[in-house]
Amino acid sequence: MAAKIYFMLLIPKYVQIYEEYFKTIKRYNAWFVELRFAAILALIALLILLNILPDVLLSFFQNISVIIIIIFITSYNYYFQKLIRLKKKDEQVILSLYQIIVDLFSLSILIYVLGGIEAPIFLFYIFHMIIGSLILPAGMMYVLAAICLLIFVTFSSLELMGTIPHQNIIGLFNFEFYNNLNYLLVFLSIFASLVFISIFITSKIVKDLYEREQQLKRALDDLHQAEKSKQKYVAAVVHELKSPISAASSILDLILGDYLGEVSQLVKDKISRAKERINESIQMINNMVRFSRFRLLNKIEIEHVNLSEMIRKYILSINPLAEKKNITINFNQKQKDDVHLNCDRNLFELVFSNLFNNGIKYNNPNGELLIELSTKDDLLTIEISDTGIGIPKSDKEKIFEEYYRASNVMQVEGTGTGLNIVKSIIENHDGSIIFYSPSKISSAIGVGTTFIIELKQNILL
Amino acid sequence: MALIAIIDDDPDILDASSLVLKSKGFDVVTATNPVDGYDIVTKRNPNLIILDVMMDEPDDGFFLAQKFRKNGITTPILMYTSVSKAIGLEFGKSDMVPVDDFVEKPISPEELVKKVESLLQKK
Repeated sequence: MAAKIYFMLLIPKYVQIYEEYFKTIKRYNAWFVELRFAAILALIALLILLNILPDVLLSFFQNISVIIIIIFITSYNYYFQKLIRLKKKDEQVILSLYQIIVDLFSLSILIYVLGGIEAPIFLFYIFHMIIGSLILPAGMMYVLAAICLLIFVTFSSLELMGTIPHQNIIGLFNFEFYNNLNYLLVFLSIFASLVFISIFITSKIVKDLYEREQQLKRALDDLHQAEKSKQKYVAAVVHELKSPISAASSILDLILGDYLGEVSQLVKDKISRAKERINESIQMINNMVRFSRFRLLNKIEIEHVNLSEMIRKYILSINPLAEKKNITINFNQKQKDDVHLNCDRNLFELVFSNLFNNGIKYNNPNGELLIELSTKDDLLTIEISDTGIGIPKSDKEKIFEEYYRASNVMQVEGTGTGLNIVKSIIENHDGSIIFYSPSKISSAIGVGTTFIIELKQNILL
Repeated sequence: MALIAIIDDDPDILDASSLVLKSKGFDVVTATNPVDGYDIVTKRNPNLIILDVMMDEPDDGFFLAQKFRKNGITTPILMYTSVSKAIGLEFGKSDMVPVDDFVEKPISPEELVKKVESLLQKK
């Protein structure tokens, strides 16, 4: 019980999620170890500097002491490095307290050895206070700072009274002030306020940052929640939209399948036509929902897809549409074996559905739609060319923007979302899409457009 | 001849599915909500259950399927769904969704008959 209370004193009150806080502490602890290694190097450099500077003279005692301190810091740093890896998450807080205490101890000795109040390295106290305030509660840091100051005052007083010898660095200062009581009082007061103010400011900043982070997290959670209900809503809407259409389609199937008795071919033809139109709207609903899901979640689900087969299948399904305008669809695969790609199957169906449908919708009667598939090394290229109305130069920049429609397509129905969808899907697969008009099969029938999609075949996503 | 229970809140789907299955010689019982659905399955003990995934609530069908399994009814279940493809979900067989197969609406008569026959054979 006592241990638990002691432990809770080490955690700032503003912390809400302990698990996360402990993780942060572990990260900080590891960082302190790295910093300490850097400090050791700096200390060695300082020792060398003090020894080579002309006129500056370190005593034998000072040299030996600094070397011992360096060895001491190095060894406990290795020890801490090991401990951080071994200790459980909740023990990391105590570990950081230990680190701060040992560091302050080493620093105090070092300051005494290098001239006490005359040694500029006392400024490192402030640095330690800032680091400590990143982790420990402000109250705890005030206590630690008070202890440090007490040690500092004690050393200074003992030097002043001559109880312990003053370790000045010969040649660094021209006059001594460790034995000037007035200076000591003013210096210590200013230094104490500096230490406490730095703890106060750092703790406040850390607390504010933490709270800001929590706010952001909560906002994100709310967003996820909203996202979930939106998904559910979308599913319900799709159901509502599709149900009557599906039911109508099933009834038409009854007639077409002669389940209700024989009907004439003329009636069947018309009913087939009605079914085609119904399927179009089902397809459209599916595409819309699929893409909005991709937009909302910004997530792709990668699987190994036989792209050649997917294209062939899609061509089969749009053939009836092409036949009506007497458009020939040619699929040209440069190599013998089928081409595979790691991609999101649903989204790529959407890409082909958009580009192929455009290739027919904006094509001229008796035209051609040419689909070419080739690979070179790791690069996969899909080229889709048509003999349609083409894309005017003035629209070149904007054609992939959402809701933008080229200036020459106003006769054809559309929403201006297709190419934007295609581009974001391709880019989400780390690929690129460009186009040029007139197309490579441009003819008297029409100028046409060629779209070129390039993808890396073995993307790791 | 095999008895098939169809549970769907859409009367037109019920009507169309029944007509197709009856024409192939199956006996059919129908229900338009989960409560009646559970009732006819326990009373008539069909050879196959056809279940719509969504009735009043988005997951009514799943709950009913789970209820059948929990109460020891192991009759094969064919599930009608209208949203799986749209949402890009391919339902897998799992404890969460204890059904034997799915058909995406709109259901073509050929596909329905094929799936029904294969499920009955498996049994």
